[in-house]
Amino acid sequence: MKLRSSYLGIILLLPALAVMLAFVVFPTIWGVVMSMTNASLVGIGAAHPRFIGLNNYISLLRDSRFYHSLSVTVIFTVFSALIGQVALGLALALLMRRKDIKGKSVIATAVFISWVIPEVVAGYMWGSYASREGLLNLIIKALRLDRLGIEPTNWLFYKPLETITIANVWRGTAFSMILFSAALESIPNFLYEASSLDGASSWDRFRYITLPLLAPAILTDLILITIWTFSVFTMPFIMTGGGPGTRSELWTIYIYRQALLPPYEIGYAAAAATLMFLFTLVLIVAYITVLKRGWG
Amino acid sequence: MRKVKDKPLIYLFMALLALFFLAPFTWLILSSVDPKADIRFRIPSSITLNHYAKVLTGRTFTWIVNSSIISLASATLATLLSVLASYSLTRYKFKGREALVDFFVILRLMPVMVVVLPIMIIFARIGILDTLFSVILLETALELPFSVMIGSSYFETIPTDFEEAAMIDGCNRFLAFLRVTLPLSLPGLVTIWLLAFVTAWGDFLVPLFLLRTPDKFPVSVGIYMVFGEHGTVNYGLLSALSIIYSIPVLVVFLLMRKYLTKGIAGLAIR
Amino acid sequence: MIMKSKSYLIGLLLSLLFIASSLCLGYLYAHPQKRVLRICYGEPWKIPTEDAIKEFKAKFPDVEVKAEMIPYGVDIVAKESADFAAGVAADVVLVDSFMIPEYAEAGYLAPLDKLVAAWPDWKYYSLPMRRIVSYKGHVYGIMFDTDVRMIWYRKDVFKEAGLPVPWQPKTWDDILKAALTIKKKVKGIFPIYIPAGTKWGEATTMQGFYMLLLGADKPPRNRLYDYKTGKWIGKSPALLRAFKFYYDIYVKYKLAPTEFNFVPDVWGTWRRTFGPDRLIGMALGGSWEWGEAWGPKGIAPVPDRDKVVGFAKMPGWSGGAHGEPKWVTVSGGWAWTIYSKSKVKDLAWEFLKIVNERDRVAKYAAAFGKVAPRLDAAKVPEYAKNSYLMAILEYLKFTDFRDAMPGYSKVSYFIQETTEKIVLEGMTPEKALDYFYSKMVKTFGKDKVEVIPLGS
Repeated sequence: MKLRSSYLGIILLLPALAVMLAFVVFPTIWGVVMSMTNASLVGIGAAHPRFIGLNNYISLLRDSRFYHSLSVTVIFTVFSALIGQVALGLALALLMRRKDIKGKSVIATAVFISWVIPEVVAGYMWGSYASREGLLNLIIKALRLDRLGIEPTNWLFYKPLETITIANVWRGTAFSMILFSAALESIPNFLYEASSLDGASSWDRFRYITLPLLAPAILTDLILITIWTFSVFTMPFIMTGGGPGTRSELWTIYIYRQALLPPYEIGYAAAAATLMFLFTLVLIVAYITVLKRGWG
Repeated sequence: MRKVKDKPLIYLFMALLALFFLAPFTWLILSSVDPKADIRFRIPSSITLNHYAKVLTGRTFTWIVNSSIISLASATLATLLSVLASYSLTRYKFKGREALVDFFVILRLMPVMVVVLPIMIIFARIGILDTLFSVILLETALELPFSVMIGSSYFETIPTDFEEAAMIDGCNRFLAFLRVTLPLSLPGLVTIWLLAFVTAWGDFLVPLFLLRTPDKFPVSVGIYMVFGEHGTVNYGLLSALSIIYSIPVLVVFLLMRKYLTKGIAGLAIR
Repeated sequence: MIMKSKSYLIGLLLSLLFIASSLCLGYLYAHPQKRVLRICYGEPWKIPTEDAIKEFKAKFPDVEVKAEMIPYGVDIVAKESADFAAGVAADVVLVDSFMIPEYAEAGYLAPLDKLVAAWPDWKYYSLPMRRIVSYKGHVYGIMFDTDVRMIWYRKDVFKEAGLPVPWQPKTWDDILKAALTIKKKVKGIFPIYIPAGTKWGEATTMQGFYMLLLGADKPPRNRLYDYKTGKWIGKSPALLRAFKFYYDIYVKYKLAPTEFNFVPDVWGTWRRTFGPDRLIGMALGGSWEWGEAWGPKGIAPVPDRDKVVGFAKMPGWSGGAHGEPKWVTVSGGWAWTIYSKSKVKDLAWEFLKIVNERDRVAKYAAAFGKVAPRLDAAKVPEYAKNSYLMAILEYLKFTDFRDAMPGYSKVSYFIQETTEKIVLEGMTPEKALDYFYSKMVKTFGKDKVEVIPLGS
């Protein structure tokens, strides 16, 4: 396509750029500035914030609750996204390829709806589902899962982190499923035909054809869902609010609680948010690099 | 080939999948028609549609109106701005164009939590905190990167030849855009608008930070607030509200499922 | 025919309208200096307020009353605070008594000392009911709607455990012993429940913690704020004793349901589990539960409520033997106040006298099953025939209030957090006290936080 060079191009860009600069970029920088003050939502810190240098970062690095939220986030991300969504997404994508199986579209639609329904609604219904007298426990009883060591309980209280992790698998698997389905479509059929003539087992075909050819898609998927899962807030927040206590306190919920609950330390929360921003930025840059270099 | 032996196993797997993905919805649907709905799971002994009728009155209706205002306004704004921007990105060349595209990717993937905290303070300073307007502004800004990306990919599919032909026929650039490119990219615009609409419609974090007064809440924050309220939670009403609230999102996404699938596929095969 | 009568009717209406409007205009012209009284209140108090306005209008026909009702769904405290701050508040405002110190400090409220001194009805307000509406020695309002707190207990569970019914513990030990007996004798019951943790919010502090703290030492050492020095109390024997009670029932003896403090719907769960589900032996809770939760039209009705639900006064830790109050309860609620910038304070006071009349207050309280703030409500038949309301009227004589000084919401949150640490992590009372103290010092500064030596 031929491109023109003209100032008009920049002028057309300006409105959108201005909005993004004013409401996304500037606040992010402002957040870094705030993180070096004792700004607070109420009281003295609200009216006259003072510059305190890196003090917030120093106390953040000494705050055991901060590290706790970090490890909760890592566990949540590794198990719900990297293991749960990728494995289940891949299994679903493979399933969707089977032409001899009926009822696939029902499953695909259910997975899709779980992904697009408003997060608040998802959190709300899981709040009942996983409660002591919720349907989950009835299913556990009906399937006699106690024989596998799974006892009915108040999941949100006794296993909060496990519960929000599984709920996030439920929530996010659709993306991996769709991505892998598309990648599988692109694998030429003759490769499989050739291999079955060679007498390869179905596992062999998966191991030596499907998996290697899927590797780029898996890498894209891993980076993207890591970024997204890392910033998940709403559904776990509605389900457990980070609790009981701090047992399921993700990084995002930690920031929310530091900022909007007493003692309302906005500057401190901004420091935590800045660290989060830097971490995510590294991942995003990695993603862009991978995207540009291609797979090859 | 072999595919006979593993069939029962696959159907068992599918049954478990169906259970895993569908079971959480059961209570939501049952409690919305149960006159004695409770947080506990129960099969209703009788069925009522009263909850649905009640959603359309009082404060739950106010919340639906607020959600509509926020989503309509921000989707329209985002569409307008992104059309200009993506037209520029696909039709003009200037320094830093490549960097700009990367910049949009970064903005799109950045956690909202990072932005929303300082913006709350900024909005409080300039006195627009706790207004629908402030939510509309931020939602627009957050939708823009994605909207521009969709817009660009659409304009790229429309050859400049048509436009140039029109210009030879005596149209100026603006008219050429208006008469030729815009109609051709209409499906793209609708896509941008719809996706921006459902993004704002479902959002929770931004209004949670920017709004304080209950009669300004959108549905998402309203549901959260009622869920933890002083022991008088009417779960039937809340479930009915949740379902009504989900309908626009479901309709849009199910309509656009093919399009979304194609978009994600674009990420996979490159 | 029909057409004719219709146009006739319209003509009549029009001429009536004309006459009425000209009368109005003439009236306005003749009374150019008509005085206006603005009254602001929330929708929950619609009935008694409208009733009072009617009476006021009859008494002062030449005053125009502008009623501003804040509808359900709007945060009343936020709206009124904004009105005060913007200088546009009504002359008469029904405020949350909890906000009185802050409003008074900001100069929004007119002191009523002289007015109430000359008001014969003032003597029917118990000392605690007067202190809730006071700040730094001045009276700023009149309590209109209030509540008290008590120990709720299940008579059926107590009987099964072989405990006496009716039951009235004299010390904290009596409570603990009864709970231990229930644990031993009745299966499947959590013997005692006291709200704890951040999920309950302010209820943890008010329904649970204050009920313990106020009875944990002699006044004024039994508070969160020292009114003499103007400092918050960060460490005291009373705080330690209160934290220890949480520790004993939740951790040491495992008598209380930790889980119930962390469900999505803490209020609904507590009302259901104590009421229809019969899972709790006794609990600290508010007086409103009798009707609002377990009454026939309540949220979680209890069949045979009068037979199975009992209530008792909360005792001081040693029953008053160490100088602490013998009985403890704590109140909040709504009070009528006058805006300091009002130009019609005389009319505002006239309205306050009318709206707070004995019969109106008592009838409103009786209709909604609430305790009346006036002791003479007992003389009103509608109130007197409700034996429950009559029984809790006595609580007004010894009730107390929260230390709602500026900064209170932070202190309250630290209390909630500390109790959460105890019940969830099994933090010992001593460590809990240190935790609370460190939070207080970090927030208010060491010079603003007082320590009462633990040995004293």
